[in-house]
Amino acid sequence: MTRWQKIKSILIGLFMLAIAASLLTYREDAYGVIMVIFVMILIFSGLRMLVYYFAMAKNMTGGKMILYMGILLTDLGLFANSLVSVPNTYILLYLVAMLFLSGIIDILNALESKKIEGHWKLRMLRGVGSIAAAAGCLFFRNSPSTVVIIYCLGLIYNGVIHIINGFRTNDIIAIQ
Amino acid sequence: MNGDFHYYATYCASVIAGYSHEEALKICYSANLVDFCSRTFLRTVGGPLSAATTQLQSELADVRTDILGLQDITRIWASFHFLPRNLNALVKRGTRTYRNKYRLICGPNGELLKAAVELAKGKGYEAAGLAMHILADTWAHMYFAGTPSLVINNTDYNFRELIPCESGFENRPVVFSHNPAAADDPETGRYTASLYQVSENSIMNLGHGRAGHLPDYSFMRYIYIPAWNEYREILKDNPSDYYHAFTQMVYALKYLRSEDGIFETDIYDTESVKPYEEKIMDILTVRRISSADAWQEFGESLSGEKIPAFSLMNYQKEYREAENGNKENTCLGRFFVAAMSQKSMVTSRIFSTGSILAGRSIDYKVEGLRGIRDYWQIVGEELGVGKK
Repeated sequence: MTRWQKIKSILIGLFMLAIAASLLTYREDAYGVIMVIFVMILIFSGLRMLVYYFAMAKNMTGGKMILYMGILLTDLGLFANSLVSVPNTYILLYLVAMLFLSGIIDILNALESKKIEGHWKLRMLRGVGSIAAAAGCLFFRNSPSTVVIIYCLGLIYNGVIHIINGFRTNDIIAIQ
Repeated sequence: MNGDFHYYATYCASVIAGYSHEEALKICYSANLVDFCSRTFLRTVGGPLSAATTQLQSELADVRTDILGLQDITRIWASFHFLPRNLNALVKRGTRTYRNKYRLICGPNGELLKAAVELAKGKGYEAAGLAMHILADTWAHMYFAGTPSLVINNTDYNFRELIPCESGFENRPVVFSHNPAAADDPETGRYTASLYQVSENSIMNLGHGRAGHLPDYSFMRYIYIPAWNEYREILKDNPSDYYHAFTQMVYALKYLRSEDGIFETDIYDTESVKPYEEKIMDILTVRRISSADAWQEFGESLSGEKIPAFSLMNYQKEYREAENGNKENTCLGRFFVAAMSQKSMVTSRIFSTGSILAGRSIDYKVEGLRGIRDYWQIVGEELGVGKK
């Protein structure tokens, strides 16, 4: 990573921690904030895809698809922004699906590692933990506060990883 | 390429190049180990994690595709499985990022191949085996890049297989499914490939994932349109490419065995291989997923010795029981050092073109001993300083 990329990674990490902290403060009222984040993600993804098309994908076989998707995503984001509220169920389903998938991947990873006598218990535990958390989300679906906490845990994890990445040594030494 | 070629065919090439049975076994073991030396394996044996030469499916599923994750992926896959053909290729379209990715497209007979083979000279059978894996893959994985990239590695539905028939070749559309549990079936033309993912850096767009294992089968001849080729079709003739790979391996192994000499690209030892050409082409063209048995039989007829099946457990005990400071003198230890040297060399070459896709490279002579600690070992090996 260049020096600028390191600084960017740390700033993104700090931003994620700040969002998690504000969500934890507002709890039940935080769904609105989560929705704003979703709208921003949609618009940002759409615009990013358009930039991607003009910068790279227009040189690619079948690249026009990226252009159409960019337009569609931006449009969806703007449409979502115009809605006053979105049923909490959709937000909840998104969180549960993400947790469940990461749990499955951890378990598969642990099983593969076990096959060649590698370390597997911690990863298996993490996988089972993620699936349990997903089940917990569903179980507490009537408690928005719990769901917000689980979402925040994900944000904190990602934020910390970004900050650690910013400080990691990653240069390769060579004799030229 | 599959284990049948990396293990048994490399054994055959070694024997034809003049190596003894025991030496050939060490070379082909190392050549095949490149496909198994993952971080999970390295944790198991207690080796340096920076020596990883591959990533397991489960590791890839869990990998982060931020800048550090992408650099790690590129270092591994571009160094060992998709060696770039031309890092200075003239690209007149797209942005700098596009140009940097385009330049990572793999192909045979590039400057980096010469550097990789020369790097292995005098470093033992393990380094020779590792170099043979890289060389063979430049033929099999031609036209794909060892970095996740939709704009380079994507393919579309226009994929046709050429099947030999009495009148020449018959065109048959390839049907790709995305079920990882489904086995490839050459009879019906149904193969597994990775999913189309719109994200540029999705792991689904790494290497030849979008073309499934077609580049890995020696019998395959197919026509398709790569994402980077401006809507022009490409014909990939695996039997011919694999034969070139084999004859070039024999040439390279003879070079590595010699006391001096030079290694030049685009030279093939067809003369030494000529007596076996028909046999080898027979093995290469039979439509089957693995030709391990046929290669094994051929290898055993060459050396008159039994070739044991590849086992990941080989040499583990020796490495684990070696004392710290002496591990580099074991078979696995030498392999790890060779892997890190190769990774360091490729990263450095890519970085020198102004691309940080494989990470940043620092010159020991300018900046001293810095960077990832595992790599200090290769400086120690070269100059007798740093961690030993």
